[in-house]
Amino acid sequence: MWDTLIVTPMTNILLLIYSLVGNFGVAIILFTILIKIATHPLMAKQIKSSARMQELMKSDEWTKIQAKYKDDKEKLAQEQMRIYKEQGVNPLGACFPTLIQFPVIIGLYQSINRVMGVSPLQLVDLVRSITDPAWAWMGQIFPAASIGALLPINTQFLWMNLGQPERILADIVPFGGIPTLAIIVGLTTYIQTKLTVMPSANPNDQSAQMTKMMGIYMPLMLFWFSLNFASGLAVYFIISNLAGIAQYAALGKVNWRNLLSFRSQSQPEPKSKSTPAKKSKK
Amino acid sequence: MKFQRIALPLMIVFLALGLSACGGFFATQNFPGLVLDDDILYISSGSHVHAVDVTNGQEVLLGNAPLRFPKDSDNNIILFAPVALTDGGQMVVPNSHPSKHGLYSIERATGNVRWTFEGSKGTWIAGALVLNNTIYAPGGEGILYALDMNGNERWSVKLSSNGLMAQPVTNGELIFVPTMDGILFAINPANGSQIWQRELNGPIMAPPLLDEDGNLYIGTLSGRMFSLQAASGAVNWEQKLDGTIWSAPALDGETLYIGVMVGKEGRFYALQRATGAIRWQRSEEGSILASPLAFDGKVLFVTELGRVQALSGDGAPLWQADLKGKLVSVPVLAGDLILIVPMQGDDLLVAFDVNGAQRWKFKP
Repeated sequence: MWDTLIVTPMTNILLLIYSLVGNFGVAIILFTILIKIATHPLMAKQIKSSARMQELMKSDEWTKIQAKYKDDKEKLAQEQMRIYKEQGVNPLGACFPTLIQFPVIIGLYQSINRVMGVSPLQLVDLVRSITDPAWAWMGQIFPAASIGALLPINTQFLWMNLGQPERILADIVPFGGIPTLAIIVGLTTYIQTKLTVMPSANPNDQSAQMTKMMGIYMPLMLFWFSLNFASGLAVYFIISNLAGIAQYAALGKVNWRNLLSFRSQSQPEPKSKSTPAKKSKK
Repeated sequence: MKFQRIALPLMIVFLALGLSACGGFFATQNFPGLVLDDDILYISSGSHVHAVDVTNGQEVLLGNAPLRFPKDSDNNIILFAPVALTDGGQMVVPNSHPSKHGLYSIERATGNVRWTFEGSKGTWIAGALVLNNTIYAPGGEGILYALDMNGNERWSVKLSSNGLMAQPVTNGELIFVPTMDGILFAINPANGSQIWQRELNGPIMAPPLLDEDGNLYIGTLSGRMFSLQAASGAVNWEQKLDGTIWSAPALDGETLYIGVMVGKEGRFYALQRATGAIRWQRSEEGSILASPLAFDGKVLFVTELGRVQALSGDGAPLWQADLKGKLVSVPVLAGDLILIVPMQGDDLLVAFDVNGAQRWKFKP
């Protein structure tokens, strides 16, 4: 089911782009941007929802109920729900769009991985995707998208073989060379996290701590993936990061000051000056 | 907020799992490679080459320990290409790890590594060929290497910008190497010079089959089956089949047998050797990725769904068996036994007699 609905269609669209542009690196870049554009409305909704939630949590009313009902969790939850209702904020609004995007991200990744397969078993999956009855028409309409024309995929892009982990100066530098792409992946992931994390009302609360941890672990995790696996995936990570920053920038939500700030991302203004409670019907 | 607190770490965990486990990073499991030498079957599967005595279904021992390569598990070694055996007691083993590109020579008597060739920059997918004290190894970067018995390079020739996926075959005078670019090369084994090449209009995953009359039979992923003259590369006939061809055909008398993959299903064809005309065909639930085995006027093939199917020369079913796991490697005939190696199954090796009765199975 997952394969039929997500991975096979994505694989075929990626291959169609490849058959049109003739370069797999460019195809990955275009495909990633295409997916980002297609999921942008969801992303925009998530960003706006997160921003409203952050604003709400900075409000006087929110702070007051936190203090007032700190020993009565049930009452606190009721009051929080009341404020959500009054402000027209859906507490899950930031999560649902992310959850919907999640299969798309995994599917995109898996389809890139499938196309770059070099072992016989991986090629079986790839050929099966191309010859899937729902997609076989592609090769009939576009001869460039038929098996004979598509395979083997040319995985050479710039100085990289997209099917292999990337290193430069492998013959000179010890330990197999410099993993340029993995370093760029780590940096762009870190930069994206720094630029797009919204200031927290309370830097010590659990979600702020978690966001901070994600800001550390995600760049390290993606750096490690890029270090060890096919460089085509690293290209995808980099473009995905840059497109993510562009999405936030388009909505005016990029926090440029955070880039050079190494302190906790707390709100810059005192809590008492925040004013979103104006909307309150109270 | 509680939801977010739970959802965020969960998403990271799922992302990590999705990207690694489900993402299909270079598979450690793959089409197991089989080579029979007298009574010993060498099986390249997963992280080891196992040597199994087919007379009793037991692993060959060196002292008290089984003859395996590597002796201990090594995360930097993935093995699925069939080994090549030399007259001098070496076993040439290609490492199919995506970033470690060693071609090892193992002393069969001791299990020790004699030498390692690390000249290739690509992943080894196919097994090597040994001819006249030379090892011909098809590299993952499209180069065919000729090495002496000490692992020193004699010559190399670039045949493709993509990996060579099929083991070379020889008629003693020429070496035949197909490429994913859809070209079959005939190479002079002495110096690597090209004698002829033939464009076959489709990626080629499997080696050609040679007959005693000097003909080659080879199929492509585009579903075309060819008969060529080994000396010149001239095409005798071409037949378009419905499906993709992943393996070499089998020959029995005047009939050529080949199985194909049609999506998740399969089809098995019997063709006339002289003309390529279809004699009969039958559909299968599982795709057919491995070469068939033709013997005593019968033919046997295996499917990805785990079925072993024996047929008469006219296509009438004789017997069948279903095993756990995917059957993607060629069945091997050893005396009166048929040896099947399932991938991702309960057993590494299952032996049937020629009438379909299971004789023994082996699990390391």
